[in-house]
This record gives sequence, C-alpha cells and structure tokens, in this order.
Amino acid sequence: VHLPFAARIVGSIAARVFITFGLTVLSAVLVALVSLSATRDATRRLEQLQDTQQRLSTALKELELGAERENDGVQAYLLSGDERYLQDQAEGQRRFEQAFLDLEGLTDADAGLDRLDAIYLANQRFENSAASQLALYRQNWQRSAIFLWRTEGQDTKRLLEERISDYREWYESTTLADIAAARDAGGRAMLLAVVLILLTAAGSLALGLNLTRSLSRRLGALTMAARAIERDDLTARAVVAGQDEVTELAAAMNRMAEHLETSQRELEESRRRLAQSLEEFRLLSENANDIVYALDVDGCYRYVNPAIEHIAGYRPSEVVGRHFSEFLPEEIRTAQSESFARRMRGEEVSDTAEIEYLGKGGRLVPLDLRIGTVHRDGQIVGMQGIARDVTQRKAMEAQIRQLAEQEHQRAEQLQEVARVGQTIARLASLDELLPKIAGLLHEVFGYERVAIFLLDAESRLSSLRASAGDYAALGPVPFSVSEDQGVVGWVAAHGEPLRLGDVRGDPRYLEIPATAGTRSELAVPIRAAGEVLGVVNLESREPDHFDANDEATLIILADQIATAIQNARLFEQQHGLAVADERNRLAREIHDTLAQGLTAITLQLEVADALLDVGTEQARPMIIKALELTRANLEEARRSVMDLRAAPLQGRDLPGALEELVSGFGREHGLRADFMTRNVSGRLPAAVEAGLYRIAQEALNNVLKHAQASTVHLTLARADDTLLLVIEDDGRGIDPATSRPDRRNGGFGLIGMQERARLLGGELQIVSEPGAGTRVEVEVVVPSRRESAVAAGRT
Amino acid sequence: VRLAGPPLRLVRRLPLLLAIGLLLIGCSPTPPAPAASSRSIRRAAGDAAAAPTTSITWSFWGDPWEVEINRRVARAFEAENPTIRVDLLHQPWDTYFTWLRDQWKSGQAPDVMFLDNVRGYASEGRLAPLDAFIERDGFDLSDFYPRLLELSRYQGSYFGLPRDNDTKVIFYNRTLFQDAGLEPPRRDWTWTDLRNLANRLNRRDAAGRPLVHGFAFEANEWWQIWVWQNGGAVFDDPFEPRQVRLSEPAAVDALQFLADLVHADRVTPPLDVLLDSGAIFRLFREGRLAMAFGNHAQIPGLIEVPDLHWDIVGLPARRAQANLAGGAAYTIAAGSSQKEAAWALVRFLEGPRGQALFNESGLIVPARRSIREDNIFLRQTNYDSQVFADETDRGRPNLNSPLSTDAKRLSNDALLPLWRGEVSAQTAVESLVPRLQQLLER
Repeated sequence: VHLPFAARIVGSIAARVFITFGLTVLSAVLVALVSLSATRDATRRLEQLQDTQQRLSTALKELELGAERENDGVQAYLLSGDERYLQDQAEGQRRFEQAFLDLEGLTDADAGLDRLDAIYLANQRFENSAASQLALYRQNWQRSAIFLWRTEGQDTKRLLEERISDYREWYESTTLADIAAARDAGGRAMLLAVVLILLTAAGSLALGLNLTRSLSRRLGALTMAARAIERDDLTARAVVAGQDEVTELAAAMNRMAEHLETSQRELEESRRRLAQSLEEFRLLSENANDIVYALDVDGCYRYVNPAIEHIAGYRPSEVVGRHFSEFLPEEIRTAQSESFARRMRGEEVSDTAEIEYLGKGGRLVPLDLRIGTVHRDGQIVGMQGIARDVTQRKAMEAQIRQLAEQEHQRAEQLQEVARVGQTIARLASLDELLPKIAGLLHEVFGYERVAIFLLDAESRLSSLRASAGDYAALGPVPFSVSEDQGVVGWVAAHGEPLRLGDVRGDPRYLEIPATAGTRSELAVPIRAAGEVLGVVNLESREPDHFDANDEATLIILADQIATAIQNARLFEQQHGLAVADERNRLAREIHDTLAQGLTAITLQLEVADALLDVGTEQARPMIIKALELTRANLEEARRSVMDLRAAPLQGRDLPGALEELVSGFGREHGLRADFMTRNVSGRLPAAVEAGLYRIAQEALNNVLKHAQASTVHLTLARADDTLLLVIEDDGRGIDPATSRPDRRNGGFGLIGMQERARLLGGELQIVSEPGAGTRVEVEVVVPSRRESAVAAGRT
Repeated sequence: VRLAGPPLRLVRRLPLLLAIGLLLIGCSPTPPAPAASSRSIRRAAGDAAAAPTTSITWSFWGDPWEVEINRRVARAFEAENPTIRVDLLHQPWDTYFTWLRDQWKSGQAPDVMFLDNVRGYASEGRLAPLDAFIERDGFDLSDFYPRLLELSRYQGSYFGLPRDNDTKVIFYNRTLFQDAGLEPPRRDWTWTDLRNLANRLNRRDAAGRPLVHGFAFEANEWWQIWVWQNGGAVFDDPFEPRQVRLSEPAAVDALQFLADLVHADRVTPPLDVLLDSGAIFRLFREGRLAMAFGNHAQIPGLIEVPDLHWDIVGLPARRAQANLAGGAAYTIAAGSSQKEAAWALVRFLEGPRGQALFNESGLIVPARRSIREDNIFLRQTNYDSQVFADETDRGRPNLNSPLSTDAKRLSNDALLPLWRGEVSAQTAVESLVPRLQQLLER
C-alpha cells in the first residue's frame, strides 16, 4: 500500500466527521434557545395563577372572618346590651364588603359570578336577620331577640357559610385545575425541548454516518468480497464504481475471482456424478429389510446396512471394522471362521446357511444367510451377503407345539370345575360365596377378568356382586346395568351365553373405564328353574381369547352357582338381620311396656277386687287407676304398631320423611320442632334410610317421654361420605345418676338406638347435662356422591 | 341573563353598598324571595321602599296587659314590614263575639281575627282558607302541636292557625298556704283535697265577713272540664254533636260539687266575681284569694305584682284527668280586601318571631313546640312551667260547631239559678237538657 493513497482515504473520512459534528452542535444550540423561552412563558403563567389563587384564598378567608366577627358582635350585644359590641358588627361588615369586592375583581367565569351572587343573597338574609333581631332588642324583646338570633339568625349564617364554601369548592376545582394545567404545560414545553434536541442530534448523526459511509461502504464491500473469496465463495465481487484507487483495487480482485470460479465449477461437476452413483447403491442396500453386509479378506465388516439395527440391535457404526466372529455364539464361532477361511482360499463353500446371531444384549437372532465371494481383478478380496431374520417363523413353530399342550390342560380344567362346585356348595352366604367363585375362576382357571352379576327380579337391573382379576376400579362400588346395556345386560335379558371374539364394533358391548383394554368377552347366564338369576362374565385383553371349551366349562359352573345362590337366598331369608332385629326390638318393647303395664293393671284390679268386699267406694280409685293404666298402655301399643310400619319412607326420601315426622311431632305434642337438612339429596341406601328414620323416631319419643322440652331441633347433614343426624332438645337433660337403672324410662330406648346405629356401621353419641338439654348424634358412613355419580355414569 | 365585561362589575358593586348602607341606618327590607341575581334583588328592595302603605285591622279580646302586648307585637311587625300598618280592634271577652257578629252583618269584618271555634265559623263561611298561602310560602306546620292544628281545620282546609293552648290550671298563693300551715297542693291532688284545702284556707273576720276566699272557679263555660273529670260529658261528640249527655249522674254530680263549694261550704267569692275572670284575678293579686282557676293569660298580670308569691298546679282529678285542648287561633276574614297583607300579619304572628314575642310576654302557652320548649323562655319566670306541658297532654276538645255560641249562651243562662243557690243541679240540668237537645235537632 502506498502512503499517499492511505493518507487520501484518511483525510476524506476526517473531513466528513468534522462537518457532521459542527452541524450537530449548531442545531442543538438553536433548539435549546427556543425551548428555554417556551418554558419561561409557562412558568410565568403558573406564577400568575398561583398569585391569583393566593389572593382568592385570602379574600375568602376574610369573607368568613368578616361574617364571624359580625355574628359575634351581634350576639354579644344581644346578650349584654353593651353598645360597644356593635362596633364589632360594623367592622365585620366592612371586612366582608372589602373581601367581597376583592373577590368580584378576581372572578371572571360565569360560574364563579353565579356563586358570588349566591353569597350576596345569603349575606343579605344574614344582615336582615341581624337587623331584625337588633330592632326587636331595642323594642325590649330581649329574650325573643336572643332566641331568634340563635335559631333564625344562625340558620342564615350557616347558609352564608355554605355559599362561601360552594364558591371555595368551585374555585378550588377550577383554579387548581388551571394551575395543574399550567404546570403540565411547562412540563410539556420542557419535554418537547428535550425531544427536539434528541431528534436534532439523531438527525445530525444520521447525516454524518451517511457521509462517512459513502467511502467506508466501498472499502467495506471490498474487504467483504476478499473475505468471501477466502471462504471459497468465488461468486463474490467487489463493487466497481468511480475512478479512485479503491475502484482499481476492486477491478483487479474481481478478475482473479473469475478464474478461480471457473476451475471450481468443473471440479464440482465431476464430484457430483460420483456421488450420484454411490447414492444409488446406498439406497438399494439401506432400504432392504434384510441385513446386507460385506467383509474384507480378513473377515472384518467393511459395510453393513441399517437393517442390522432392527434385527440385531447394533448400529452399523458399531459393527464396521470388527471381526464377524465376535457376533456369533461360542459354539459356532470356530466352524464359521473355518468356513470363511476356506472361502477366502477359493474353495467351494455352501452359499446358504442358517445360524444364530449374537444380538445386542446377548439375545440370539435366528438368521438365514445368502453369501457370495467378492472378486476384484481376479483376486478374492472379501465376502458379501444378505441375512434374513427368521424369528417369527420359529415362534410359530413353538406355538403349534403349545396348542397341543393346552388341549391337555383343558381336560384338567373340567376336573377343577367339579372341585369348585364342591366348594361353592358349602358356602351359605351370597356375600361370601360370589367373591369366592370369582376368585376361583380367576386363580384356578386363570381367567384374566371375572365378574359376577345378580339380576334383580323386580327392577331387572343386574348388579355387580363380585369381581376378580385385573379390573381398574370396579371395587365395592355399586354398579349395575339394565337389560339393554352391555353384554351382561344382553345375556340377562336373553338367558343365553354370548361369546365375542372382538368386542370392538359390537353394538352390544358397553365400554366403561374400569374394563378398558378388553378385547374379547364371554358371558354366561346363571339360571335356575327357567329363571335368570345373574350373569358370569369373563373378559380378556386378547382378542379371541375364549373358545367353545371355555364356554362349556363356564355353563357348567354357572349351573352350580345357580344352585348355590338359591341355597344362600333361602338361608338369608330365614336369618335376615333386619327382620330379626325388628322382632327382637318389638319383643323387648312389648316386654318393657305392654307386659309391665298389664302387670300393673292386674295388680290394681286385684286390690280393687279385695276392696269390693269392704265397699264399692273404696274400690273405685283402684279401678280408676287401672283404667288410666289401660288407656296409657293402649296408646303405647298403638305407637308400637305405628313403629312397625315402614310407611313413612315409602315414596319419600329420608329428608322428606324426617321433615314430615318432625312437623307431625310438633303439631301433635305442641312443641316447637324444626328440621334442617344440609347437603343431602337423592336416595340413600335403604338400610341407612330406615335405620336413621327409626333412630329419629325413638329419639323424639324419648324427648316426649322424658325431656320436658319445649323445643326440639333435628338436623340431617352430609359431609363427603359421612352422614350426620342430630336430635337436640332444650329439656331437662339426662342425669347420669338416674338414667340407667330405670329401663322403662329410657335406658332401653337408648340401647335400641345404639344397636341400630351399630347395625348401620355407624356411631351414636349422647351429650347431655342435667338441666341443659340433650343432644343425640348419629354418624354413618355412606359412599360419597361423587362415586355414586360415577357409578351412575357407567350404567 | 348576565351582562358581560366591566359594566357588570360596576353594577354589581352598587347593590351591596346600598344594602349595607340601608342596614346601617336600621331600615330592613322584607326578606327577599329567591332571585336570579343580585341586580334583581336590589330592584326589589328599592320597589319595596317605594310601595304605598296598606292598612289592615286586627281584632282580639283580652285583659289590659294583653292589649299592651299585642300593641308591642304589632309594632315589631310594622318595623319589619314598613309598608303595612296594623290597626288594633279590642273588645272584652264578654262582648267580643256579639260585636264581631255585628261587624260581619255591617260588612266590616276585621282583616285578621282572633277566634276560638274556628270550625264553627269556617262552616258559616266567615273565614278565608289559608292553604294557598301556606303552600306558596312553604310555611312549615310541623312545629305546631298536631292536636291544636287539627282544631283549625275544616273539610280538609286550614281556616286559621293556632296561637296557643288554652290550658287551665289552678293558681295558688304560697304565702296564704304558709300562713295556714299547709303544704302546697301535690300534682296528684283530688277534688276532696281541693275542698278540704279551700275550707282550711277560707278566713272570715269576727263579723263573719270574708277576709280570704279559699277557691274561685269560672262559672261560665269551663264547668264542663269538671264534668269531664267526673267521667261525664256534655255532648256525645265535640265536632258533630247529636246527643246531650248532661243529665247523666257524672255530669249532675260535678255541677252539684261546684255549687256546694259556693253555698254549702261557702269558700268562694260571690257569684258576680265567679262570672268574671278579671274579677277573680283582681282578688288573687290582692292576696284575698288562696286558689284560682285560670289560664296562662293571667301570668303577665301576676308578674307585675311585687311581693306576690304564687305558683301553679294542675287541675285536681276525680274519676279522670282532663283539661281543655284548644285555644284560640288567628284567622283571615272571608271578605277581607287585604288578604295578602293580612296573611303577612298572620304569618308573622304564627311564625317563630310572633310566637317568641308572645311567649316572652308570658301571655300564652305557645302552639309551637320549638318556642314552648326553649330554655330561654322557660327560665324567665319563677313558677312550675312543666305543669302546662303536663296538662296540655290531657287536653280534650271543646264543642267545635256552629252551635257553640248558642249552646254556651243557653247553658250559662240555665245554670244561673244553680250558682245562685235557688235550685239543685238535678233541677237545673232537667230544664237545660231539653233546650240543648232542641238546639242540636234544629
């Protein structure tokens, strides 16, 4: 590089920078001057407004002080009669007047003048009142003058003060807004100045940059082109424009680049053709499903296609370069190596072989080989081959053997059926029996999913009673299907077995979350005496899992189950818990109430009989007493009979029945009785409804008999899966010292309630203190509504 | 409409200076009605000053001090209303109503009339309804005792506004009680107490001439309060009387009780005094009467007497506690040609200003609650002012019908023989009742 050339370039750049800087400084100074003047105007306006506001404020204060002074003067005069106070009044008036004139001078807006008018009017009233009162005082009506000044006069003063503050509010809202506006204007002027300066600076900078860039851009372009060529981009060219040194440089460089580009293009073409033929070969081998490979003369992999990864688990890169024998199991390694060696010597070797290949992780892959020797220039240079995976074929062969074995097992199953039949015949309770059968079907017969449904003769609903095996969440949740729902419903309705090889697409199949994944299903009716009692249902995640064998086995089992169910039902009818309990309770109640009552009546009548000999008069009280007892017992007997009837719960849910019970109770016995329910809706299990209703009935009877209460509250509430029944009275409470021994007076009722609560699986608590009422709480767990809703969604 | 620019400011200053100037020399224009701007106000003030003077007449009854009080009140009104002159027309109680009827007949009804029995006169068409004025001026009636207000109302319209409640009390001379060694009467005293006290306070000289009389009642008209207290009544309904109940034993007994005080116990002044309330209180002021039946109007007269120590007590009860509800009211004559000016006077008399003045004078129990119950006035005299409040609560309306005047006259005449001691109450009543009944049926 020659020095003058470089110096010319540097000088040209420096001149451009200097011009730019000068322009920037000049425009910034101009803008600063303009904005300074704008800001000063805004400040002056602001000062002016603040001064006005100050004077207005002073004048208003003065107005108030004047009125106050006058008021004080008048009042002092009326109270004392001292004429000197009238000077205060005059002074007040003078100050008021001066302040009012000041205000008028300072107000230009119509709204303000309106308010001044209002002040004027109010002041006139104030002055009138003062004058009237002073006149009355002078006419010797002192008390009236004081009274009227204190009432009427002060009313006018208040009005005046209100008018003054109206004005003040107005001027504060407007004048202060003006001040704020002026302040904003000042701020805006300042902001505008700053923005202008910045814009000017930016503009100057842009100009400067542009000027400098006209030179530096071309140098830059030259450099860029040189760098591009250096990076092998031979199409790059520098811009050739103008007639200076830079242009010459650019033209020389462009010529050099053209030569380079031409030779480069020829090279590229020959390389592309080579790549194409390689690609064709690669596609052939890599898309093959079979392993295509090549070994060199030493037996090391030279090439292997990607199919090896699918078949043996290795990536081609893991294999290439390694000896083929490393991938063969020990026992065939020597034989294969020898065979390879013979081939390399040019001896005749079989072109096919069946071997086991050592896949990744030690797994053996059966392969069928087709092999060929590779010659180049008449010399043996290696071997190439194609290997096919024959795993599936091998598996099929194994399966055929297994099927033969299964036939044998099936025969054994039939023997198991007989054994299960014996087991189930011994079980009495359905609740025990059905899970047992389901368990046996699952464990002994190996069925994947087993469910047993019982059909309700009235509702025609089939309810799940037992299940075993791999169900997601059938559990203990009540789940039932009607006759038009699902395979189970269909079987229950038709009384015939149904076997589905693939449930998908079968309209009778009902998909629910708990049996997700089911592919085949077998359902068999449980029948007795021509009547369908239920359904045994098997499901599997494999398609076509069940065959005629399974069906025959299951039909035999279903017959056995039918017999067992009939037995169990007979047993339960005889020993039904609810019936027994009710009968026991009634027996105890009769014993406790009616029998004792009758004993007492007998006693009275016996005494009466004895007394009849003495005289009828002496016997009469005994007979009357006996009569009373008889009536009381009759009432008791009626109540027992009423208790027996379950009528209240028929056609009603529990809250409805309790509401009726409580309101009837209140009406009948003249107590304040109310019932509240929270969060309880819909039907609950029948046993819970009946049990809680009876407890409520018993508790109310206790309140009536013992509590001497005037109010009783009954609450039924639900929180998640807990149901709470509370009976609360304000009676005399239970004295622990006396409550237990006297069975007739409630001991028995409480025990009865406890038993009922226990039967429902719940708890009963009694909280009471003498004189502080009694609270009976029953807590029962029922399935939460969310689960019920899910169950409802399934059916 | 507002003028703009400098002329406005100049104009605006003038009224203020003028108004302040007027005030300083003691001339107060009428309170202006709300106006649009100060300029129209100035004009109104100027017009008022230039308006011609109107004269109206104001009639009333009363004792001499009442006349004086009314004169001062009228002066205060005139000071505030320079364009109206008020001429006072005074007549004594006995002749007032006869005189008024003569004036009406000759077409010279006073513009503002002080009247009782407003319903009666309203039904005769003598009075002008005031509702339009009340409504126009927003005159607030809520301060009045409602029961009093009701007595000025006829067929839904106000024909007057009540000035006061004519509550009756017993005045007693504390010195005479002290001299006789007696405790002052208690608030719950009875007729028997009254009779015993009257007998013990009554004093005569050696010749049997009375020195001090025990008790005096008004034999005209107000004997009916005693009938009420005995559980009886004169008429079945005070507003629409159909039946005279005076012959019932309760009424006869009450009349006989009063007559016995005169003739059996002889503890009252002579009959001519009992027929004239002025005469009764002359005796009381002289210290020659221990207990006197009267109303608030007597107080200004009593205050003026130096060294007279007196107090008041409610009426003694028998079977019931009763007093009179209703006093007199200010009305405007139906035929008045100066109704606007007359209303200005009524508005002043019934407004807080007039009522305050009356109350300060001690003349009345004001009909406005705020005035009646204000401490400035309660503190001014030395008697048990609570008595008036208590007794007002027991008030019952008097006969309020066009027949009132005739009924009063008939009764007063028929009972004269009783007060004279010529006949028994039974006999007097037997002659009066048929005549009253006849009047009702007419």
